[in-house]
Amino acid sequence: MHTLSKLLNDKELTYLSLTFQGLDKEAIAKELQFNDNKSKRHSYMKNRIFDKLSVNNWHNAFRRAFNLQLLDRQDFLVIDIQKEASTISTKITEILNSTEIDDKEKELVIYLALLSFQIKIEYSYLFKEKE
Amino acid sequence: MTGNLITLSNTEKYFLRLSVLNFDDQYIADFLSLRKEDLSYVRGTLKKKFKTKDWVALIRQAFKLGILKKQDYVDSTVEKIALGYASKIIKDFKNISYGYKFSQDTLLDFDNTVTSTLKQMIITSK
Repeated sequence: MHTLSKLLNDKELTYLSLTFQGLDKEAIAKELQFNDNKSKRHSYMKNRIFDKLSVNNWHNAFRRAFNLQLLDRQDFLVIDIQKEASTISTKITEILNSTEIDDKEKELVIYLALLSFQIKIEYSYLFKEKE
Repeated sequence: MTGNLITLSNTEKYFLRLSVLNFDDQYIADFLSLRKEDLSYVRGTLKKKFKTKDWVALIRQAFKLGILKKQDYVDSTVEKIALGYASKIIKDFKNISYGYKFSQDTLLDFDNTVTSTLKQMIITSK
C-alpha cells in the first residue's frame, strides 16, 4: 500500500501537473531538465505515474490525482461551488415541498441532484468547463 | 449540427468506454475478441475520427458530444454517499411539517464528505 504523501515523488508530481496543464513534451523536458534520452525519460515518467496511480491512461491519471488531492482542484475550478450549491439547494427545496410526487420519488430526484452537483464540480476542474 | 457528428463503430465505442473505465489493453482486447496489437488500430481510427492525437482531448470531446455520459462514470463511493445524504434529507424534511427550507450547507457538507472519502481510498492494483 502506498503512503499518500510519498505516492509520487516531486519530479513525478511536477510531470503530472505540467501534463494536466497541457504543456507539450518539449516544454516538460525543459522544465524537468531532461537533457538526454528524452523520449525514454518521458516514457519512464508516464509508466511510473500510471503504475503508481494504477491507471491505464492520462484521463484516469488526472481523475485519480484529483481524488487523492495530489492535484488541487481549487487551482483549476472554473465554477463557483457556493453559487452552484445555492442553485441546487433551491431546486431541492422545491422538490421537497412539491405535493405532486411521493417521498420515494423525492428521494430519488434528490439523489440524482446530488450526483449532478458532484459531476458538475468534478468536470469543472477536470475538463475546465463551466457547463 | 452535422459538423460535430462523429460516427463510431461498436468496437470503437466499447473501446472508448472500457478505456475510461480504466480497463487495461489485455482485458479490452479479450472483451472485444481482438488481439492486443489490434487495439493500436482502433486507437488510430478513433484519433482520426476525432481529429486529435491527444487522448485526453479525445475523451473530453466524446463526453461533450454525448458519446460518453458523465453519469456512467460516477465513482461507486460517490453514489453510496449520495444515497445516504438523499435518505437523510428526506428524513429531516419529514420531521419538519411546514415551510421546510433546505440548507446549502448540507450540499457543501456532502461535497466535503465525498472529497475526504475519495482521498482516503486505497489504490488497488490495475
